[in-house]
Amino acid sequence: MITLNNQLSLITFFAIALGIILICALVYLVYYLRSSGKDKERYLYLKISEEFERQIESMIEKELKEMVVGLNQKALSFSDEISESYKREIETFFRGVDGEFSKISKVNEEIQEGLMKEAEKKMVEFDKGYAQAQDVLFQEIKSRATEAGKSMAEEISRIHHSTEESMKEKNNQLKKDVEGYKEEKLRELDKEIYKIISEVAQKTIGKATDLSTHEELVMEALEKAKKEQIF
Amino acid sequence: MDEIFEQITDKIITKEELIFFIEEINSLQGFIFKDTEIPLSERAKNKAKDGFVEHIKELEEKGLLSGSADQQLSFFKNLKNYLQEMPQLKLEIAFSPSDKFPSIVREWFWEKNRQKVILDITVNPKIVGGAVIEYQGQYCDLSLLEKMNKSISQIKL
Repeated sequence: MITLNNQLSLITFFAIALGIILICALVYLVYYLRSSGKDKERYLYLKISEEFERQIESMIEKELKEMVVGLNQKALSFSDEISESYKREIETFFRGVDGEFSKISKVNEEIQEGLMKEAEKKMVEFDKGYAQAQDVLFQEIKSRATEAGKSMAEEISRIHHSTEESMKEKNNQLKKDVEGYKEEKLRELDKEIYKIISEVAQKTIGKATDLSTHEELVMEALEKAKKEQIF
Repeated sequence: MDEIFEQITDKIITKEELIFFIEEINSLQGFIFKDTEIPLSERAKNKAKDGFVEHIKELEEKGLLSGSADQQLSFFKNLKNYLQEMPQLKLEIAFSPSDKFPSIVREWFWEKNRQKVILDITVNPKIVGGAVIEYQGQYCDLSLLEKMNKSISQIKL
């Protein structure tokens, strides 16, 4: 967006450019008239004296200066007007904005009040509903807890009973196992004792018996075998 | 022939003696067919044990080993069969018997059963005394160890 200062500068620039173009055109005209000696026959030219030329140049210069000054003044006054106008517009705009803003604020306040009232109403309703829901939930929980307690008690009783039975069975089995183990160990102990007694007897009796006694014992065994009809 | 064999085997009492005698008979096969004009007892000297040579000499004197080598061989084969077929009485005893004891047992057996037996005696001190007897498939433990074990088992601990 082009600002006020930029507009002013632009106008100044164009004015100066215009002036320069005019000067260049005049200079060219003078030069052309001076230098086109060959085309005497075809063009009509005016021979200008040097004095006249100097006068024209000074005149042009003076005019240009005046023009530039005038343009500058006009540009300045124009820019002042524009800035004043712009200021006025801005003030008007901000006044309008303030007015609108105050209107919006009022409306906003009204809306807020309305929302607050609505929210309060809803809160009251919500509190009522929440309290009711709490009661209902509490009642439900209470009844379910009571049921759960009953079923848990039954389950515990059942488990206790079955565990008791199982423990009794295991206890009985354990007793049997212990008895069996005890008997087995006693049998092993008896065997060991018999073995020891036997070995001791072998050693003592074997050593104490002489040859003739041994032979007698064999003959006795043979007699007994005969009686038992081994042969 | 059995009577002859009985006479020959009269001195064979134990199983060891039986095995020894059969081995000697088997050893005859090596020279029975050689130098047949020489008596077998002469040929057997320095080749067989003295006891066996004495047996052969005795048989020759009794006229039981006359004839060809084949007949002699046949004789010894029959004798071997006779010996192997003799019943055996197994006795497990707890002591090393005297030299006479096997004869005593054998005579007792002959008196009671009119049967000659070969005694298979093994020594096992663990049976303490008495004997474990086995005869023709019949078994009987009449050792002192067995008696002791029975007595001990009746003791209530």
